[in-house]
Amino acid sequence: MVRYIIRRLLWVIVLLIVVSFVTFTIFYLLPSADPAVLRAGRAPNPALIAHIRHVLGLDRPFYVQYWRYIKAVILHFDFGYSYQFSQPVKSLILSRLPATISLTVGAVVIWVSVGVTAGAVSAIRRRSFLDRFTMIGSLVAISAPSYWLGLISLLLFSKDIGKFHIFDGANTYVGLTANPGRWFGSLILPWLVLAASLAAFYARLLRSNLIEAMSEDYIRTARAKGLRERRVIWRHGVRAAITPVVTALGIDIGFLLGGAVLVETVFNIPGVGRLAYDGIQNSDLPIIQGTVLFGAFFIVIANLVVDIAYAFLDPRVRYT
Amino acid sequence: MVRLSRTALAPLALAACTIAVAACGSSNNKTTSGSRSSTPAGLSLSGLASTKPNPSAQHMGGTLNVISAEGWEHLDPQASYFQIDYLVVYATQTPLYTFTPTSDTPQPLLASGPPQVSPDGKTVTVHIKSGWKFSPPVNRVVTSKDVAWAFERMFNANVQNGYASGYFPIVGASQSGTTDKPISGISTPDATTIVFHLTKPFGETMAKALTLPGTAAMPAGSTVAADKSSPSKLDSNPTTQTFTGPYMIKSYSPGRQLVLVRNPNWSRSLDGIRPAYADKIVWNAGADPAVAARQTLDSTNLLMADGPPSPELKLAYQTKKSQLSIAPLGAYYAALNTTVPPFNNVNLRRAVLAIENREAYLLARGGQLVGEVATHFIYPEVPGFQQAGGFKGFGEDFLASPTGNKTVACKYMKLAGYPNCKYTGGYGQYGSVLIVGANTDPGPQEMQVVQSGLQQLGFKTTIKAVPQQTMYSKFCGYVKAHVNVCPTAGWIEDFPDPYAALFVPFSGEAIVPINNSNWAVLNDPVVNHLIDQGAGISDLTQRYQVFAQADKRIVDDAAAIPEVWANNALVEGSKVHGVLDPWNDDWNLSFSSPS
Repeated sequence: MVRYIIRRLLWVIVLLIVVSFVTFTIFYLLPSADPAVLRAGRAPNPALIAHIRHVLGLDRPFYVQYWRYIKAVILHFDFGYSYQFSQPVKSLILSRLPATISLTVGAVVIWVSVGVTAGAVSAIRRRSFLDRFTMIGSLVAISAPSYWLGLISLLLFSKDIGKFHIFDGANTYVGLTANPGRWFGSLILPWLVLAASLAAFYARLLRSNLIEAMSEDYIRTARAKGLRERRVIWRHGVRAAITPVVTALGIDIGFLLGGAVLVETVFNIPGVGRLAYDGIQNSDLPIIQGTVLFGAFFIVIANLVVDIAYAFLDPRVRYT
Repeated sequence: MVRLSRTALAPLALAACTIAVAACGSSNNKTTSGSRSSTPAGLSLSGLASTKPNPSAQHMGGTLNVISAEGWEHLDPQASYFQIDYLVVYATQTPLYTFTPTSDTPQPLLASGPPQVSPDGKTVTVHIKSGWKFSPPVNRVVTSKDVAWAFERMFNANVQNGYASGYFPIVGASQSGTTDKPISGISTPDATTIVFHLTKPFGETMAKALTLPGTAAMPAGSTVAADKSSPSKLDSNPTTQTFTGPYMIKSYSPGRQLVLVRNPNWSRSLDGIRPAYADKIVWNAGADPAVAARQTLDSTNLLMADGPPSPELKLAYQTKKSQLSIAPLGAYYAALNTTVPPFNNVNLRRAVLAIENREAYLLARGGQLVGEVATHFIYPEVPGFQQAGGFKGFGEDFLASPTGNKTVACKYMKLAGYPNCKYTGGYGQYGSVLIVGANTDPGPQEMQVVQSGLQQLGFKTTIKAVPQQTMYSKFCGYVKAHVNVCPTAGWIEDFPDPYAALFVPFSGEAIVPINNSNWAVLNDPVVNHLIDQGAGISDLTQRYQVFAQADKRIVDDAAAIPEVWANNALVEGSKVHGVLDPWNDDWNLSFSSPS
């Protein structure tokens, strides 16, 4: 197992270098805007643009530019300077990571607990009213775009502009260490919005897998041994059916840690996703490159964690 | 042009449809919503928010809460060149002169009186007030050397000021250096006098440009270390700046939050202009525009620093007019490249202006709520608008019909050598008329309007919709790209003067190879001469008349299709009193109050 982990970590490094190369190449070969011009502002004179081009290293060959970039990333964790904010990209991303982690962790707790429970109940009580209600509800939740859902939830439930003044609205996020109570209150609605479609997807996924698992021979054996039904379902059925859910969970967590762009934008949560959105809006290439690398990092790490988790979930899985 | 927020002039997202029109009165009276009852198109302006100062009703103290979708770019006063940034910089710094919410004549702020311009227009002398102090921890009195230092910073390539070389043609000043070098054309004979020696007779115009934030004093020598980096570290950490305005930046999170507190060393009596009502200003940025607009309208205490999206604008107009302001903001036009075929022929350009449906442009942008059909290039809020023909314009037949006139278009096609009123000539490198615009609303719609008109005259056309920054840096702003039509051009003046409205977009002397803003690449010696001539005239009547002649010549050159004179809409909470800076068409935080 240790060898496996080490091998995977080495592949993570290789993968990140490949991602950085592809991203850099795309922006070098197909730049949406001239970085020197973006930095220079309006009506700059040619001397100013030439100076900025030299400072940014844009007058060097492509491979020199990439080498400088990747060396700075690996040796100094330096992702360059944002054109728009005039700040180091690293500090921008790190300052926004807590908000993204807050949003992701809370949403994960909600969607896993709701999704798994709903999926299990639906599978056990197949074709019941509860099953049909849950599955129709999940279809609606999956179909609703999160941006739209966020806006509707604000218009319905936020204390300032909502019809029913229940939850804190947009622009109310504060850090956990600044004010835990307000932190929690400001994230309830974003958590629910972010968790809605994912809980629905997980419910449907678990339902179909659990239905299949519950028809297996070992389930019949477990029942024949006299185990209580609840133990049969959760200890034997769900455990076997949960593997694809764990896979999806890993990918989703990794993806969200790279930034839940739409939810962060609607609720103005200053996370990495919002930063990426601002970068794209402003063609701020260092930010785009930095957030892409961060996102890729979290996704590959999440996948590694999921693969390791398999070894504990499924005794048949052994890594060498 | 000061770079506007995404919800304002530049061809941006749907939020651009929020721009609304208001009429303008006399040439030196920028009309805001309160002083006219309706626009020329008949849109009622009565009942809108009063955005003028009201000292008897405004209260001192409290916290002013501001919200915006846009964040800030440069809060370093010598680098700042963005509408949203100006709200902060003008509250925390003190340029030599300023425009107030009720006057478009520069008022001395750090200066003690009007600038003295020599008869030849090549020397400008400014005296500054004695006793004006920098904020803690510097604490000392501002001297003329500190003002000189500010100018040296503007010409430091690491500070990347966007207008210094255009408005301050000072002897010895060059933006290629990377240190804050003394400029030979600036002298400081004593602690309160600064003298600028110019390379050309530009003093009258430079006097107006002394209202720009880059002229705010900075402690001499204090920024040497910060300015060695590109960009300057003073920009990346604005809390380390030294302030001369009523407020200081206490905390700053880029794109998220900004908090201003009172500057203990600022003197209201010495300032004489800015009341600075609020004790504290808290600004949260990065909001969704629709959500922020609704929050503002439903609140008592919010000011929204950028415009509301179209649905919220309509909602505000219909149900909460007293919280909505509508004021003029620049102009939109479609530039025709005058240097490459087919539009290197003036009669062909006039034919295009004649056929184009400018009312369709206005509808694409949002209709009456966002503007008026334009007839020339000095727009309503710019002094000199009336001398340039006002709303009616100069009366050219090719602009007489806002919906287009095929007969007049045909007349000019024939003059261009196409008796059948259809273009059958050659094209440039693209084999057709290349139309490039922003790919966000209403860019694609505007391009289609242009295309429709051109096709009626037999032109082959190709549309290319690209991100806005790409449009600026790789197509319309890149001279060698030779784009034929850029229909999503826009302009707002850097200060309320016709020079600022016309020079960069239409003078041949302003053409630069990259990030060019003279998108028509117009280089008419008559226009260049008139603009230069006007820049040196101090008598306002004469000055405006010369610029009106320049405007007329640009219209006659048919360098661009004047599309829309735009307005900007802003919303505020029910109890807050927002005061507008008409020249920037955004809130003036030093004049606004929480109640």
